[in-house]
Amino acid sequence: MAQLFPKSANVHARVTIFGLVILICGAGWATSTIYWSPYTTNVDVPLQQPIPFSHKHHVTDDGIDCRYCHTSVEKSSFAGIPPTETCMTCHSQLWTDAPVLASLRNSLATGQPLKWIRVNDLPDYVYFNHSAHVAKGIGCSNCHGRVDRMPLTRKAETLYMRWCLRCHENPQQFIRPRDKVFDMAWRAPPNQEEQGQALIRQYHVDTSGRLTNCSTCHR
Amino acid sequence: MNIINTGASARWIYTSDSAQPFQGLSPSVETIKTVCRSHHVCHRAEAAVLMTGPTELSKRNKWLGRALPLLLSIIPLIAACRRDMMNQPKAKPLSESDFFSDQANARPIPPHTVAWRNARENDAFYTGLTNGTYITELPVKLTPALMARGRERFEAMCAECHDRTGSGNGMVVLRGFPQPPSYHVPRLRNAPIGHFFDVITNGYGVMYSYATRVEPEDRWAIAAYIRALQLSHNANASDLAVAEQQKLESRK
Repeated sequence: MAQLFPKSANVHARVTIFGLVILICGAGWATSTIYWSPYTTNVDVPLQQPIPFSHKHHVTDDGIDCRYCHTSVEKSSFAGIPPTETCMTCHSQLWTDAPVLASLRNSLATGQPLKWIRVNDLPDYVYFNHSAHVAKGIGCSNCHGRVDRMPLTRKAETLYMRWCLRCHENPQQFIRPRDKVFDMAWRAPPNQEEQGQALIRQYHVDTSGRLTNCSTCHR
Repeated sequence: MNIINTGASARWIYTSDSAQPFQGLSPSVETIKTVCRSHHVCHRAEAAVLMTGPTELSKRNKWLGRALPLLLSIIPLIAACRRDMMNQPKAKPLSESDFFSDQANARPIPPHTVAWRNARENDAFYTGLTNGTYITELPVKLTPALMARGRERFEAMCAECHDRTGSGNGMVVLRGFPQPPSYHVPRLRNAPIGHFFDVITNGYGVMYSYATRVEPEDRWAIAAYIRALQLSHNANASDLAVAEQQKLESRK
């Protein structure tokens, strides 16, 4: 019986098999790269705001506390975006002619609010509460990164659920003393694991499973 | 005689939206036509009817019969990928409104309304005044906790201009903001405590009101802390208890 397949069929078979493997792996790699890239997550992508507000300047250079503008962060689920009046507390005296602040002055004159673009926008089915986190020793920089070093505000983390769970499953790795919550430069000490366990007891953080219960964040 | 899944054929007929496909079917599949017309195809999906021989149509569309249920089951998955759940039509704090003229969902408190449990009948506590004169006594109990709270709030809300010692050399002042008076000048050292509460509440000179930013309780805590700052700059060693004085002497 004559050969059914020419010799080149061996090559074709190998190319097809390996090609297919490479193609599938490549497709997987490409998908995960796009999924975790700033293109999808928006991490570290500064958004176009009505005023190019610099947290770096106001926090690091001017020494303004987070709570000076985000007044409701300890009392409410929402940290609060400062009203025009708060900006004008200083800017009624400083940079009063700066063209970059024209829309701010216009907002004060007309009563039309500035339209800031949300940088950290959680899906509406997530019920996040700032006051609860601040009260239990989770600092600003835990989620927002070094905002005090951001000339233009950007997202520091993906805010994906798996990212939230990293802490909800092991809060002792992230919890810090309450008086360090607004300390942007705070870093976990070498004994964070023990200190974290102590703080969990001290702040009555319920680690019996409530932190990972669906309805804690989704209602 | 064959049994075919009429559900599948019916679906195909349904999607083609015309009576034409029925041409190839024998009269006994009249039921399917009915199903098609009444738009209840899905209910028949699991049904199998006896037919009098395979028709050309059923053969031709056998792959469709397999593929369509698959496709149909994928559609709801794709349909779930809309952003509606992410951005629900509800008002969240400071979200944009297409209803109110200032485009803000957060509404100001209407005039002449009092929030529940917020009657504010205690004038001294909420204004720092009794019968038009500043009160000289703190209207809340002075505790170490209040003082600590006052210090924390002062350093967050006031030290930007007044600096942490109250001398008025805060960072914002160094950047050009008009300098506020030092707390350690005689006029302010002798000012009644109600004055400080009133200034935080209503502003003073170029200082804006902080009424929306600092709660009344915190304003008293800050006022108490300002008194402590003033004392810290104008204390005499002889004011200390004897034991403390001796400790001070031994440090010299």
